[in-house]
Amino acid sequence: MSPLLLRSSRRFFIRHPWQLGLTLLSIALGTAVMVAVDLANSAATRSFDRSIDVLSGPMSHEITAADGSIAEDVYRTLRLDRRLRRTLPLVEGRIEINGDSQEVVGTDPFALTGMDLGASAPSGLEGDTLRTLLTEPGGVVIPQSLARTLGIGKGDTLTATTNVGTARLRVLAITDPGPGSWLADRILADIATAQDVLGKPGSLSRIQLKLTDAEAAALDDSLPAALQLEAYQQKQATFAEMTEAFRVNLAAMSLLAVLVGVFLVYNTMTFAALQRRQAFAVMRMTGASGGQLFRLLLVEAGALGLIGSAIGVALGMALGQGLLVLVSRTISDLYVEISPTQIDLAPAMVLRSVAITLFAVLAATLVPARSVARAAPVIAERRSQQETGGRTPWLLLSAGVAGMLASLVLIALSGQSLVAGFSALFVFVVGYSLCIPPLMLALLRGCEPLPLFRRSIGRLALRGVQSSLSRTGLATVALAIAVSATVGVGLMTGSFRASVADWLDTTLGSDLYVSAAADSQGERRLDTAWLKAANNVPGVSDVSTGSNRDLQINGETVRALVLGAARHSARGFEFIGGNPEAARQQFSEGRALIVSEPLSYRQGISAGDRVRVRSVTSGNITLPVAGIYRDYSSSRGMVVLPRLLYERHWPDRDVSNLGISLAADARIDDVIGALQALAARLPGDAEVISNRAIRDSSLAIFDRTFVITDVLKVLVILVAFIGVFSALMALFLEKGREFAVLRATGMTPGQLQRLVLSQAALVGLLAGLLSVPLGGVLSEILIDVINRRSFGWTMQSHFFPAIALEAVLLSIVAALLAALYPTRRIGTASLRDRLAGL
Amino acid sequence: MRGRITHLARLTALLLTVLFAACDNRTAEDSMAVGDALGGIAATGFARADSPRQFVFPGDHAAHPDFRNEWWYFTGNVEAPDGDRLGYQLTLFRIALAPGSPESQSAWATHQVWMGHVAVTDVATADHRHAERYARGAAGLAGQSMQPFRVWLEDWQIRGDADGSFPWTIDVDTGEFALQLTVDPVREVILQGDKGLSQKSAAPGNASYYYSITRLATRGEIRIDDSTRAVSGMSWLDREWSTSALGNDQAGWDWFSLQLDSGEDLMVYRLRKTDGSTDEHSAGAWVDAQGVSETLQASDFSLREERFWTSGSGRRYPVAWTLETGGRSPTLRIEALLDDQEMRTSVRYWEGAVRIEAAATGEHLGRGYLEMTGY
Repeated sequence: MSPLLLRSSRRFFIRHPWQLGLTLLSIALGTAVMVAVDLANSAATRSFDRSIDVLSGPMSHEITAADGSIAEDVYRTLRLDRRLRRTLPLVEGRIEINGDSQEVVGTDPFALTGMDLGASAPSGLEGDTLRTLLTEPGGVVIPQSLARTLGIGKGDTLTATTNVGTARLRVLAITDPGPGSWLADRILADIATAQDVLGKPGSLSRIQLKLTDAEAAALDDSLPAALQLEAYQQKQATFAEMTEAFRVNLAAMSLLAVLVGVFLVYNTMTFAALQRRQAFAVMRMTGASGGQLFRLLLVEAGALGLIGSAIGVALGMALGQGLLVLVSRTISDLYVEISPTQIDLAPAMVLRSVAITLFAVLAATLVPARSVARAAPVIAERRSQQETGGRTPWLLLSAGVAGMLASLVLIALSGQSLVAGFSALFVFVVGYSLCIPPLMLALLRGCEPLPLFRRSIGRLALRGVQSSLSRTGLATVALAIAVSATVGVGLMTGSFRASVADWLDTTLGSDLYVSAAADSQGERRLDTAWLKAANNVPGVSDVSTGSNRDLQINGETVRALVLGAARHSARGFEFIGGNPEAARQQFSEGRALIVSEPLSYRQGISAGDRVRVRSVTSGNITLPVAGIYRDYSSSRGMVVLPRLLYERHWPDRDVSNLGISLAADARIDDVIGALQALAARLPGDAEVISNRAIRDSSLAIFDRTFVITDVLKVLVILVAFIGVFSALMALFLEKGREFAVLRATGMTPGQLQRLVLSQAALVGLLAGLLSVPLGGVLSEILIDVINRRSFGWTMQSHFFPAIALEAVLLSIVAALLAALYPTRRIGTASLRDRLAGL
Repeated sequence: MRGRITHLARLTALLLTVLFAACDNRTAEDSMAVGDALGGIAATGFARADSPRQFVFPGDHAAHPDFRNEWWYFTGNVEAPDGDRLGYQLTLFRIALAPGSPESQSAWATHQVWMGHVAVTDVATADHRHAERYARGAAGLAGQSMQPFRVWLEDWQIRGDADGSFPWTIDVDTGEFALQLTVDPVREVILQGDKGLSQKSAAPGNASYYYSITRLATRGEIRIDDSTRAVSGMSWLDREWSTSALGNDQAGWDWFSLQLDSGEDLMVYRLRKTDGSTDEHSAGAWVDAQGVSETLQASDFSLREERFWTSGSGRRYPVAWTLETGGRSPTLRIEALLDDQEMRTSVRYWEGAVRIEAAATGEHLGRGYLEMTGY
């Protein structure tokens, strides 16, 4: 590359600092959003993986029980009869110390010997401590962090409140395990102490094992049905799989920011080429080849891309920390509890982001660079050729329509693939965006006869926009896409929320619910006296029971609700397809279970099918499916079993919650009072919640889930806004001379400012109007394709005029704001200076 | 009787050895410093061996949990049908971490901890394998029961008839190797020391209860890796329980259990003090062909190292000896059947099968076991 050419481009950008700065900013923001989402996603996954790593330590598998309690004999059988030596019994639970809940883990330290644990052996179990763990009543080893919090030291005594009263614990040792150290991150006790303190004689919470694949397979085959063996790796894989849809959705949103950025780069580079048409013509005439100019533009774009993405990575790290909080909260709400950790910028991630940005920027520059390279030196000096582009509108329109059609075909052919769904979405956006310039032209022509545009300023504004379409067109496209994304996402969330609200109304058939608080095992069990007592409360007409279980359905652990329906079925289910009446009847007669929509979608289960279930009493059985019901409570899906059916195949009779219907004349507050009195009297903790409270908290979680969507939406708009701002500003600054002529022919500064603002408003209006249909289609794709493929949910789509109106206003405001600075300059610039340039 | 403290000394020194072995060779990650936990337990509150008692069999084969330490100690020399010689050792140790039992609802609660050492020597292939295990004496993981008679540490076990009478079976599988042996005494129980009270110093209570069966006919199977062989031969059982410990001035000992072809059995040990001298408590026992035993004082025998072997850990063990028995037998030359029979357990020591020859003529006189600690 000739130094002369490079110098010329450097000088160009230095002389246009706003253009340079804003372009860099839009590239940086696009990259930043992408990096931030990437960081937050990977940190969230890693945080889960780490928590599993900490939990598993050097072990590979764990055995848990459906009801949370493993008979301790199982452990002896594993160790003595099956000769599985790398086996560890754990008793876990929570106690309260000074009002704070603390985790206790009890194990047999002697089980740890001979396991070749190496560096992963838990610290703090040496010598005297090991001995006193067994001999000292209430002896515990606590991590230093907790010791510091509690202000206690070795030899001190603690009083803890437990499920079964109070316990005196004696601190035998204080360990300083690294963060997330296996076993030693909690209050560690001998297994006997833990059973005593937690009130769990005879039972284990978990058995950890280190198994080979063959051992695991053999063990799995022979394990009693009430127990399940799971590989920790499998847990991590399941988490990754479970949250994948969510993470892909976020990544797609972040790519949208990049896409918008690409339009802006295209716009900037086209514009920068136009601005330098004379300089380029001169260069060509003084010997520079078309190829050199082509490369020059690519180098410029590459430099912009590199600098912009470097800033973007830095910005993204800051943004990522914030996003991580939102991502973690959403994953905790929807899937499993994770605690946000630090984001961790991996070199691969940086490279990927920079590469995507560079690729996008260079691709966006190809078209303007090629047209610069192809222009003959003479023609290069004329501008009209490039401004209007001849027959391009028809070309663009047909290419655009073809793109949109291709997108629909892709949707139809791609089955359940989420990535294909997003690809289709992007193809559709690109297709539509190709149509925007011709559509704008058409709209502008359509506006001509309108009275508003007959008057001088209106007509000038209209003509001005028409004539500069090649410059404003792309900015408009960018703005329209960004705005359409907000429309699409807004409509989708709105529809989703309305569907969830409807579903909550159907599902929450009871007026009040009594729910058992989780005990130290995380199990929810209501005292057996509850059912009768609740039935006897005046004003209660009906009581249904519910229990939450984890069942193995077709080899997969699935949440199950065991429902003991009252006389009037206390919970409503909206059946999808099939025969709802027949389904209801089969269910209430206890003949079949019902399957939620996401599970049916994922496993391909239909009404009338049978599912394989691992039961405790009857071993492996198959149960008929009465129907598929709408459910938004879990994207993993769940099943509901009538209690009659459950009790035939499982021995436990525990109830986790009651649904209470009120008599017509009952006063809800009185009933709540009576139930709360019961809760205070009966053993165990239970909470009385109204139908309304559940509905509100469910919707609150729903809204929280979409906070991150809103944040990303704002970021996309921000990128677009910067683009429009820079495009319009450059345009108006460029038009300085034209404006000077207008001033010279008698236009006042005020009139000129009004003209510029009208042009901006017109661009904004057009972008806004054009964004609405795209937004509508996007919301349909999001609802019917993306959501369905991500979560298995179907929902009613709703159109909210307010969201469309908001979009148009947003677009106009963005355009007007972008025009403010140039307008102010027009007002203050000296006429003579401007004309002197002529 | 000074001589009868052997096994008590063995365990105590094992535990003491931990303290100085810890720095260099103990594989801390394997044992999780369990050895430390088992040493230094205060004697207060435990029963003491302070006067002769009436031994009752098979009742006394059972555990005596009021005492701090106890063990069932088998060594044996056996032969495969093709003439290949093998040796084995199985010891189940019971150690009480504190007197009494804890107050608890939990089936896991206990003060009793069990340690197991097992080893097998295949002379033909010069192969010595060994393993170590720990378990708490609760929740069915380890313990001793009478109905049926059982001493077990997880799936390692010694099992007998319902009342504890012989024959017993030894069933141990480490995964790598396995012992399945039936042992049946061909000699009566020998009460060591003063009718089974083995006094180790002048202080009352500094003693153990100790008996041996010096010959048990043994047959069964030994598996090493995938090769299982039928074997038969002779074993030696030592049973001892106690509370008191030895002093700190002992560095280790060399212990011999010898079965002579002529029908006599000989047990001698030399206690080595930290200054290298022989402790005056060194002693032994001579059992004649009729099974009548006689105590040997330190002055009744003399031992001399003839050849040394240095292990990978740098320990230099004397693996060949000559033994003078004060004219009870010709001078014996005792040599390891395999030099490397080091027990690389949480406490390192050497324990292995030996051959016995006449020092003068080289004539084969018998078989035995040798244990050397504190090297």
